[in-house]
Amino acid sequence: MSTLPLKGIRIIDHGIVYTGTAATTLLADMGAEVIRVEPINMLPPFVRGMMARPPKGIPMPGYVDTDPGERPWNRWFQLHAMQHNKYGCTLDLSKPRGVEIYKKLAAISDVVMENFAPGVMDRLGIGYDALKQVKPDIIMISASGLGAVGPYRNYAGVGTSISGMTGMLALRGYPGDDPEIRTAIPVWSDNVAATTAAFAAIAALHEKRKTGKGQFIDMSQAETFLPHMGEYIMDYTLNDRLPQVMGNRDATMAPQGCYPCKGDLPDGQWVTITVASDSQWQAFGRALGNPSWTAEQRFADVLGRLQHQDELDGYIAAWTAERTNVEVMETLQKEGVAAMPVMTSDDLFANPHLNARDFFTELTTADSGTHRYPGNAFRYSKTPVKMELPPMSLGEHNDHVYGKILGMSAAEIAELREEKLIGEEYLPGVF
Amino acid sequence: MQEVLSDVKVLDLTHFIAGPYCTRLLGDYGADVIKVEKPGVGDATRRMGPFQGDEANPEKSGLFFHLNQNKKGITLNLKTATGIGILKELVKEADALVESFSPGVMASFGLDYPALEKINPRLVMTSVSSFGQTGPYRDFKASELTLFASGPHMYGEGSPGREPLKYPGYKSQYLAGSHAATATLGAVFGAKASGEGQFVDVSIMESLSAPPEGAGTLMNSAFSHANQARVGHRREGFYPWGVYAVKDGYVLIYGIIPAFWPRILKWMGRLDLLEDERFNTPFAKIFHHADFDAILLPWLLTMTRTEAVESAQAERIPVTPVYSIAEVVADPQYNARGFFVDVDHPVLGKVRAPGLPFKMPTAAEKRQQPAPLLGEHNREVYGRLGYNDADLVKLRERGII
Repeated sequence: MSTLPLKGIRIIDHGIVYTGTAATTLLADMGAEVIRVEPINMLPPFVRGMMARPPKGIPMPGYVDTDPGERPWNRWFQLHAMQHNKYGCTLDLSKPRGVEIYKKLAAISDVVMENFAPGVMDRLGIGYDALKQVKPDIIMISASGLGAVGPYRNYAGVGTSISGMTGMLALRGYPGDDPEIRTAIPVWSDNVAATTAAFAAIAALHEKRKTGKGQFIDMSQAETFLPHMGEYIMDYTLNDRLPQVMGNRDATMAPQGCYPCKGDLPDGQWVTITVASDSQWQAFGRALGNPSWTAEQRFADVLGRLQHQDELDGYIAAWTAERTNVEVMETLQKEGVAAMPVMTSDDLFANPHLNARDFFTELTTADSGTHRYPGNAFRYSKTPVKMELPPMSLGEHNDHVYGKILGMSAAEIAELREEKLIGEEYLPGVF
Repeated sequence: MQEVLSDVKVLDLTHFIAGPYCTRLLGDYGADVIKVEKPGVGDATRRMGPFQGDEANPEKSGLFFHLNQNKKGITLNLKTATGIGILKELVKEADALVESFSPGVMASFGLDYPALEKINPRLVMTSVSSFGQTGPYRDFKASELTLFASGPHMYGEGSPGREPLKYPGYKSQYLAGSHAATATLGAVFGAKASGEGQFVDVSIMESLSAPPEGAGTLMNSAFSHANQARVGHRREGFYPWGVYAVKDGYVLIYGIIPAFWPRILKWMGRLDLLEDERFNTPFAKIFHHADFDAILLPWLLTMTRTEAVESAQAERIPVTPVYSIAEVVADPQYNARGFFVDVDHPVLGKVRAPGLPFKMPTAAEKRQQPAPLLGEHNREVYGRLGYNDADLVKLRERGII
């Protein structure tokens, strides 16, 4: 069996919320040894819950079976979404002894990944300048919301803040909607920042192989996402023109939309359809059995279909409403027309295509039981990604990291536990 | 662009958005990317707007320009034996080949991974497709809308009681392109050490369900025994979180973390509300958000966006502006960091465009290269293979380039 691309690379993971956390999981999937260092003296945001010890006796969505259980920090959905294939240890970095031990780990690591607000790592005493002292060729990736330098470097913000500051928020919605009207806020930029941070780590490792030098990369999550708004930015810089809110429609293809289907769900069942050309329009008519409205002259060419979209959508919705979204998909795809149900999570876990491709892996953890976990965007033919370590419980690999990797004795590790520098639970009083 | 990947040669057979964005990212960091286009016609995005001055000229597409900076461009007809032969010569020296044809097309050219591996064992071949190279949906037609629907996000987006909503633009395409770049770079990093390449299968559908956001939605549903729901833009249950009008625009308020609640009341000058049992704890306010909105909304309308943002940020509350695209391009933070680039293009003239997603301080910087004209680098690239001008004329006459 061939060797995974990042085998032999050791990475320290400080990720919070999604960006740093998912970036290091990608690198772990590529074979890196990723050591997640987590605090027990505070609860970092959106990793192991919104609270360390949520109230008992009421259903708490987000926890396994909406039950926080005895160790809620091991049963939260965000942990399970992306924390496989890593070693997890805990360490109280607010204590000098914690920082001392951390530096021993940094001294034998290649990459440190973090997405705290700018300045946090420096205040802890483990910023780039400090770590360079113990490992001159260390690579550090800091992926803050807006970047570590610049007039807004200290803005407090999260993923949805970035949606607003990259122009995406102003463009979401139904055509004609007031921006304050009730459409949900896209949370999306973390996806892009995470894979870009992983790209940056690999690029820096590639650079180090050539030059022997490490580096500090100051990444702005917002900037990783701005190129995804490229065509809007180009229309403005080339033509001084602002984009329109299109909803589910397209400027040059009709019909295109999201149509209601037969089904029992409270939020409905829906199908999306795009007819991309005149020949596809003819195929669409054939798929429907050539009802008379598909032969109307006003729909025969794309300009006519764009102009009369509202009426067209009415006819299509009447047809889809009598069918399930899977039936619509199969009927139209058979004639070469793009159609896809709007997938619920239930649909995806049961989806025949994803399951034929073994997209989900079953894993078991002590505190959460057995679940099916989603895979990656990519597959490697010779070094396939395997989910070997399930999402780690808090401090699960303390003995492995401090004993095996750092070479501490059992007595030394016991002392760390007594001093509450490491542990497997949040300290009492952590909210 | 930056020099980091100057020792990486990429053959780019991609078209449309996801594939070209992947290879653009490699080119941004100095990879030698050769974009292979169909003679006379070129990439489909040459025929997509926004066009400069709304002139549908294949050298004036802003979308094509954005996606294809930092690449060289050649033309080559892969439906001819001569064209395939030339491509195989180029494969010999390549570290990576990226393509985004429908599954099966490369095999029909005799250019599938088993064939290319024989020519160059260290080659990484990345295929970007809607649904991946295998499976029952493999040959399905797709659009950005239907791809976005195939992930977990769409069902939960939009208003309660209305149809689900896609995100603006081509978010699925661009995300898959980003993932493909990371996956390709990882495989190349491995191949440079081991001398052994491999095949990389990127599926746009799977990138939507992968970590973090897609997988997060899936695991939340699995644990909570509830599908994603369209909950409206102020996310009742998490309060305050949403778009709010101010005097001259809109702000995004993210105030759901319990520790923020006293700060929010201080920001509003209403610490007295801590005496009101509807609002006296972070839990209580969730159940009385409509009552609180009756106080918050009119108060916000008394302030400009700048006043609202600056005063809230002074209290460390995440209140941020909702920008138009014009404001994005003018934003002081992006400009202070040099994010946008000014590039000279032979037909478009001087163009301002999005630059690199991040910068590496140790890598030397080079001038950002404009997107290539159709066949612009034929002479340079084929010249390196030993073809002279007379040869190129013959190849053009025979429709090979």
